[in-house]
Amino acid sequence: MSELAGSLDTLAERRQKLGVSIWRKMWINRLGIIGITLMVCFVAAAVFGDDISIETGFGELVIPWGMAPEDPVAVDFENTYARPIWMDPAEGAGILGKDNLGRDIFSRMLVGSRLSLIVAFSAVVIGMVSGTFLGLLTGYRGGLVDDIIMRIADTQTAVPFLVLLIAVIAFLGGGLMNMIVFMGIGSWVGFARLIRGEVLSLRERDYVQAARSLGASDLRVMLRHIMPNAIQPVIVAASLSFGGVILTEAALSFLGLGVNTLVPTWGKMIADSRDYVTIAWHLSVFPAVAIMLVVLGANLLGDWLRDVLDPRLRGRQG
Amino acid sequence: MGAFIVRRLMQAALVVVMVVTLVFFLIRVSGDPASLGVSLEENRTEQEIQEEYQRVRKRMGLDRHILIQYALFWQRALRGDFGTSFRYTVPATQLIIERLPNSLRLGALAAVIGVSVGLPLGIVAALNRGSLTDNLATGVSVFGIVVPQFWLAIMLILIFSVQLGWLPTSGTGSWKHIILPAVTLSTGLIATVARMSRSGMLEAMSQDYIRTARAKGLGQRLVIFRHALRNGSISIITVVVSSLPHLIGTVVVVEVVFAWPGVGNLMAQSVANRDYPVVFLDVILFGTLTVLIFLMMDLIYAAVDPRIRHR
Repeated sequence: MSELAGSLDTLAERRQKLGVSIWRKMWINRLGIIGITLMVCFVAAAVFGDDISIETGFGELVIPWGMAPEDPVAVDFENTYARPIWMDPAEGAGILGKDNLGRDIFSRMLVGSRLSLIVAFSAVVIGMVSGTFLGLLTGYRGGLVDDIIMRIADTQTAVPFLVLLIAVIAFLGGGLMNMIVFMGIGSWVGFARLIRGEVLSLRERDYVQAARSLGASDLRVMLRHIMPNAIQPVIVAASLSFGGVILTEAALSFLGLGVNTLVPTWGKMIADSRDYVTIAWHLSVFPAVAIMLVVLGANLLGDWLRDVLDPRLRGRQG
Repeated sequence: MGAFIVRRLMQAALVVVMVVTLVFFLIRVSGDPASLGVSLEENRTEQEIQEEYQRVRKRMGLDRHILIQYALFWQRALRGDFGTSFRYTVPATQLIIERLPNSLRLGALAAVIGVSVGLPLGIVAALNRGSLTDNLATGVSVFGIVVPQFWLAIMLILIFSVQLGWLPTSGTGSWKHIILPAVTLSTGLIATVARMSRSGMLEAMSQDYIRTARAKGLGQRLVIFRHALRNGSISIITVVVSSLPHLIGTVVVVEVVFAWPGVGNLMAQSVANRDYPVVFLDVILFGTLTVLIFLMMDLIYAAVDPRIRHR
């Protein structure tokens, strides 16, 4: 019934309705708003949490907008294990207290957020781009290419990814680039399978046949005609896998296999706090809360995107 | 059915071969295992170190072409020889076999907890949609998805071992030792099972045959268990099985936190000690286990559902 009504609407009306319904949906779906807010907060923390220094030919260019109230590595032995200021104003140390060396926990979390988010974002982009391309290729071409790439995908699914990652990082070293590339490679399979499924159903459509008969090249058909129609589930999946990458990165950091820098990551902060957890709970609780909130934000954003982008689900709840 | 089993077995074997190949080349590309086998004591000269390095290279067969190494590797692997641990100087297979039962016990208990908590949670949530129970169940499953398990492990130790003193902090010994690791490991599974069984139940309850069953005058319990749950069970099994690789990956972290003497903990230690043959075998073991689990599930499906066999 609704399809019939939809086809009777003029294009302009439909477009207008779609625009309105996105905003209404956004307002109705408050969880989506929470997700967006969380993500905006964390991106802001990652960008503005620490100074940005760029190496240029003329020397170091520093944008000094770092919002961290204290130096994240400054040691202060007078205030070790100081509790958060809102719990114990008398101690007067830091919004979220200080750790076993008297370093300010809030500042460390702010500075650490950038690394986690950069790793997660880049890895998801790498996985998404490579997965999308391979998915388009296998779905469109089929045959031997399809067989080979999908068998490789099967193989990769068979190895528990965290285990493989631990092995590879242990031998190759866990620099920032390695970390990003491995995590990206780890997530291409999901994206490729998604896109492949879409492409298989799209490639026989009339408009694709039309484009092909007009002499469009394979590449053009794939990128201009098929991809825009197949990309929506990928965007949703990207948002959902963002949270997964954050958790994996934290677990690797926790195992001591994270990015080897002086930057305190959330996973490393929790690992360091293990021995002191009986003395001071706040050392490990706040970084964990940060991890959980980012993952939650990414998941809520993904669910919301699915609602907004996929008209078939519109109006359906839960 | 016979042809299906044979075909499926061959596919599984192919995937195992590819896993081994992948791991072999990845680790070969990613580092020089011979340099890890040389002791770098301070009182040795450069010359001595060089000589031992060459000796180790020769002993490990690294001076030959990589494809010959690969062939030789298979020759030994098929006899069950995966090299000797650098650290413990015993065969890597022996180390793994000693620890495997511990990990299997942990994983099995986690799977049991995951299903026996997640399933009722999801069903109750679906039957009382929108109620406080539903929201609570959703909250639990969201928590299970977003919580870093290594942190949850620390918190459980803090609460149940340190504060309350009910359970031991780590290690093995009595039945009490396995509870905390298994519970930690099962959180992700509880979350996925609860979510899937909730949506599965909701979908099943809206089907025509449920209305028919109701119209026949069947009781609520019979409708739920005989009709809705039975039809939803396949998708729940699928979810449980397909989340197993993730469960196996998480085993490493959980075993480390609880000092559980399983293969995951061994892997983390071997990585720290750069004990390359053990890491290698460990990855292969995890991969093979996953393939076997999937294979078993496929065979069970095929036995239950004739449509799958003929695809």
